[in-house]
Amino acid sequence: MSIEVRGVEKVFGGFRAIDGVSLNVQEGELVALLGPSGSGKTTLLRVIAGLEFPTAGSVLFDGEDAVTRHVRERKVGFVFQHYALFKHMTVFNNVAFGLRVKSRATRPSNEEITSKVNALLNLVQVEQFGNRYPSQLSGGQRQRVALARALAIEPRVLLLDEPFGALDAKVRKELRRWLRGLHDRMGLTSVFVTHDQEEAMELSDRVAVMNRGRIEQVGSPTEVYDTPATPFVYEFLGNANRLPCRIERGRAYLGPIVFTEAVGLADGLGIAFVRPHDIEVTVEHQNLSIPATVRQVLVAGAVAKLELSLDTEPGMLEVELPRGAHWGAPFTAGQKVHWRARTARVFPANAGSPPAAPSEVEPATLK
Amino acid sequence: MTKTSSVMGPPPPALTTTTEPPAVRRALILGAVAFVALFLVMPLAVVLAEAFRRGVGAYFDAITEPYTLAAVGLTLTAAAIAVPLNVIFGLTAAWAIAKFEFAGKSLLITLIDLPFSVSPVIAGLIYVLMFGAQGWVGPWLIEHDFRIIFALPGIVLATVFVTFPFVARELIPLMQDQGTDEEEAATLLGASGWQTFFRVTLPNVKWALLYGVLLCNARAMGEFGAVAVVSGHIRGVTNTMPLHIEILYNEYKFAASFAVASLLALLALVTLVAKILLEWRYGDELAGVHRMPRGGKA
Repeated sequence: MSIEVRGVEKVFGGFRAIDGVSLNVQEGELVALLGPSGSGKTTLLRVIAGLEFPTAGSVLFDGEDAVTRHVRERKVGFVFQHYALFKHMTVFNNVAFGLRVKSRATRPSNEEITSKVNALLNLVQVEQFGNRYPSQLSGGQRQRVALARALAIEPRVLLLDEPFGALDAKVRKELRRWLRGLHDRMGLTSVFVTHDQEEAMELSDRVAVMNRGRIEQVGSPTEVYDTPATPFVYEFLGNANRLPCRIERGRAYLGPIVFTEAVGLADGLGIAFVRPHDIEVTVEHQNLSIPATVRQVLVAGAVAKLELSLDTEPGMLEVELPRGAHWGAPFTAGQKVHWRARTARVFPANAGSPPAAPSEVEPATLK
Repeated sequence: MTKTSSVMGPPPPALTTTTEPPAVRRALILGAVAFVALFLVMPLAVVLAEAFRRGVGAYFDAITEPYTLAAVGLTLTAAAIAVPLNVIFGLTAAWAIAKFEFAGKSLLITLIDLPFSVSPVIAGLIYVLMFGAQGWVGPWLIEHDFRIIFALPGIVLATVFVTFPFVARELIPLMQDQGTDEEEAATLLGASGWQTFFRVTLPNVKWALLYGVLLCNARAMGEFGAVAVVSGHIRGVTNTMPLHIEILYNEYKFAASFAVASLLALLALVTLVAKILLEWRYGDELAGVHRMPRGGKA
């Protein structure tokens, strides 16, 4: 079941929540809609589900226009951010709901419903909780029940809104892997919304990075991470150092460093983006390295984070070193060092829209 | 807290910061109990004492008198019509307000509260001015031999008006709080509008609905002012229980008056007992629903 989003726009009052978005999801694919709060990703998911009517554009399921179909007939499995389990029903009845509301002609018999629901509860590993109410389950269990309920109607596509947003870090990681396995086993076509780039990278086949109601880039996780199309994508997908540089004939100059990654860019001012883990720091001066002073050293788990102040210009540089590299000869605050960037991504200084501030908290829906 | 400290040794002077000294606690409890006794228990006791002053025989004579029975019947009939009507109105209004966005929503909310802010006498008068002999549509109604004022329809109308807000007011905050996620989930699972309403929305608000119905019913049976204006006090025909009590009292038939009053109080108690029984019967489920953390904010 493929999904095609064609030029979809959604306006709430005067606010353009989605501003002309097109996206193709192949059958069997797992696609992440990644973006900060208010980027329109949840709205786009709701448009695909049929919960919102697009102001313009269309959504096609297997090449067939889905907008004219009622939500009820789309056979979409949807998992809400806060699960939206029926709180007055037991887990079993929650999962059975989609089967019991079918018209008499298509409704399976009670025995069939029972065996199907039990199979689903087994699948999501909550078989022992069938008689409990949602309030008696943990967050991760509720999440899995919500998934079983969505799968009961044998959906053609599975849509998940911030599926792991309300879970703690450890449960989140487990569920992520489990969901990926489930997706592959069941051969579903899935789209999920997240503001967590790590989640998008780890779980999806392709990532659509959204900003201000538009898709900035679609590609595999490595593609968007290694060759971000816009400064926004670069900054949203990980920590970034912005260094002003000069572009001349396809090369970017930053002090003594020359980046060849500026091919095809017009001459003028540019910004070189450098990931903190792409910076080498040495005590001795090396070929093409720039002097700096260590301002602060933080050791956080597997990495050591250094803050360098540049000697040549104002601004700060964030560096991440593998802990091992830092361990042998630790750097200390105030130390004079030299740094150089292994690789960088150069954009013209005026490229793209300034990124919206990424934020941890995501509103449930944009209304 | 208290237990641990008593085991550990002499209890500290203040057990916790949220506990008041025993003297203050006792004084507060005593005050509350005294208030309840003075303003709730005593009047009820007085009603019962006065009702039985002339003996049990006189009491049963008073409540089996034809006019009294007619008044009881009329009150129950009016409530039996008004309460279901307001359940339907209240549910639809609350549904519309809580689940949809539309222009004029705040106006509708204000209108729902109108019966609370308008004096019941005026509520009754509205109907007299509309349907009375000198009213807007009164002459036409008389021509077609359809009586509203000084008849059952008028009494029902006045009762519906006065008790309108109870169900809606009870449901709106709850339904707004619950949001539309569960309804959306039901629709996505293939449920029709009615299926969603009966299997998801209604079960989620059933307790609030029940409270609303009980309050609405109590007021419907006890309403005096609005009904007094439209009823015309025709004994055996348009006299409801509260009106009948007043008439008996004005005629110095105190024992009979209090006997009927005790009956009315009994009806109110029946609804309260029904509520307690239901709470007891479904207590676990009720607690389950209340324990459920509210979705929204993580």
